[in-house]
Amino acid sequence: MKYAWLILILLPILALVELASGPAHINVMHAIADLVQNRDSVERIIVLEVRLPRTLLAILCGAALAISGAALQGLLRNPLASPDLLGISQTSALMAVIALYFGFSLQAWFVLPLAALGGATLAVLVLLRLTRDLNGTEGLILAGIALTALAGSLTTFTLTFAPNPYALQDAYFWLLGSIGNRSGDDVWLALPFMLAGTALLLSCSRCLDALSLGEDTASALGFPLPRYRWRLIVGVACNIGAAVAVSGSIGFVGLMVPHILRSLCTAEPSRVLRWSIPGGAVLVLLADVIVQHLPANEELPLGVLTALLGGPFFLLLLLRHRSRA
Amino acid sequence: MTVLLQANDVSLSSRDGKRLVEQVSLTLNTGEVVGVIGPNGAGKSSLIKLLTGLRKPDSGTVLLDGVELGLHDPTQRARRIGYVEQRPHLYWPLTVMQVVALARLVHGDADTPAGHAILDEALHTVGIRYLAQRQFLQLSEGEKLLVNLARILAAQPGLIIADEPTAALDPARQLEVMQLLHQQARNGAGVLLVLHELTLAARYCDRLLLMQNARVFAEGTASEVLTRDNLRSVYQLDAQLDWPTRTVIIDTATG
Repeated sequence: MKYAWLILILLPILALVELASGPAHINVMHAIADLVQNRDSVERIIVLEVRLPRTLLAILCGAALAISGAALQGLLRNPLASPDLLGISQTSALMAVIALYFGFSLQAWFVLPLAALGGATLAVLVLLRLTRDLNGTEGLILAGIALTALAGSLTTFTLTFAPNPYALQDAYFWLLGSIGNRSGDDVWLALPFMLAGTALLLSCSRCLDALSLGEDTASALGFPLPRYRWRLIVGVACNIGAAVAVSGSIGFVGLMVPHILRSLCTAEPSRVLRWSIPGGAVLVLLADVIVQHLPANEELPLGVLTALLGGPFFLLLLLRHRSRA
Repeated sequence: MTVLLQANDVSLSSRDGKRLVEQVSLTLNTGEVVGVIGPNGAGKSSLIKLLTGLRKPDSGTVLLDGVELGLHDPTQRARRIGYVEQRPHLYWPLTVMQVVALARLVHGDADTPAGHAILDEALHTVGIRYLAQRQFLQLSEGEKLLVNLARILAAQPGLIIADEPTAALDPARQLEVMQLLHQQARNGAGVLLVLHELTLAARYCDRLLLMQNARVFAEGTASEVLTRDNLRSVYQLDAQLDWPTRTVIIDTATG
């Protein structure tokens, strides 16, 4: 774990930089001082109402996406598994879009995350069923491509029937993935699901270690997969559902973070799982700081930047994987 | 001698209805090495899966310490049975030490000094301490097998079940591994092995189970099982066991 400490140093630094980033030039330290001394000021309001939710969402979504990627890679024993490449995020987004644009999300606060969670669960179940028959990495990736395409087209199809005529354009930008213009409500919406999901996934960490030697040996080592499979599925679904509900689809975090951890620190699945929490938070914070400082006319959606980084990363991994095979 | 594992008339079929194991019974006692032999496709590995609890029998029962295998908690079962797969595959680039440490997962002490001492001793017993920090995936097939054997020893199980533990090993290593497993039995463990090498089976196993077409063809000591008639019927070999040297001498193949 020689470089792991770096993540723990970067996390608070990047969180402070994120709090200091934004269109209004304010002194974060003043705002924090106002906050501590309970003094009213514009700086305090900006930080508390706008930047703190964004920073917290960057940390929460990053952690949720990364730990889900690490759990999926451990469960499927495939380094190319991640929630967005396998269509889990997209299926989750499909259900979220239905809840959002057909008014279901107005019924109760939990409808949106639950819909997204349901979509994610459905996708994981379909994938597990498909991977039973489709062996190897290629089969998994192909199943992911099919599921992504299906979820994407169903999203567009559904949105053309939405009562709101601008639904399609709205949803398009929402789906690109962003944590801008969010409030504390979004944090509270995602937090319980993410905490529950993360607790479930962490409770499977020793099973993921045992799975390093395949299902039979894991079972012989005292960790029969059927007992843990549901915990892993629900844990991933809670995290992805909650992340999609508040941030749309931020891609490649679940792929990149476990890989970086494996090359820098350790390949033990339980440690990769644990360290993905701060690791994912650092990556999304960094990406969100970058999008806020790019000299563009409009803020680049966060998901576009992670895809710009993650796309070539994925291709490199694929090439390396093929050359090894 | 105490009965560790007992299978009573166990049968297993594949999904497409093919009989993999048919009404097999066997007993494994403490301090005993039992060898399961037979040609490819005879049902040896399927039998092992039943005995380790990885598959449930379609009919019949498997008892571990007198209690049905399925009724044991998986953790408890893992502490009792150490299982070496035929071709274990590692999915992540772990070091040898990390692989061997997986044996202590159910004990939860891999990171403690006591657990570390057990891991170190297991590596020492198998003679691969020098490999501890090497990447498992970069090892030869034979070395990988030794690592898995060390993993089983590190679990300190009362019962060792190994599917072809000497495959991919050179003759000297084969003898070392068999001596090691034999020693484990002499220390009180029960050892059940699937073997292809008949001479090793004759030399190191107290009892043999000869399988053919999913059934037990013969059972007993090496001299009772490895008879010329049995070898001809099951392996289509003209061969015989030279009892003083416990070597199976093959004259010709008949089939």
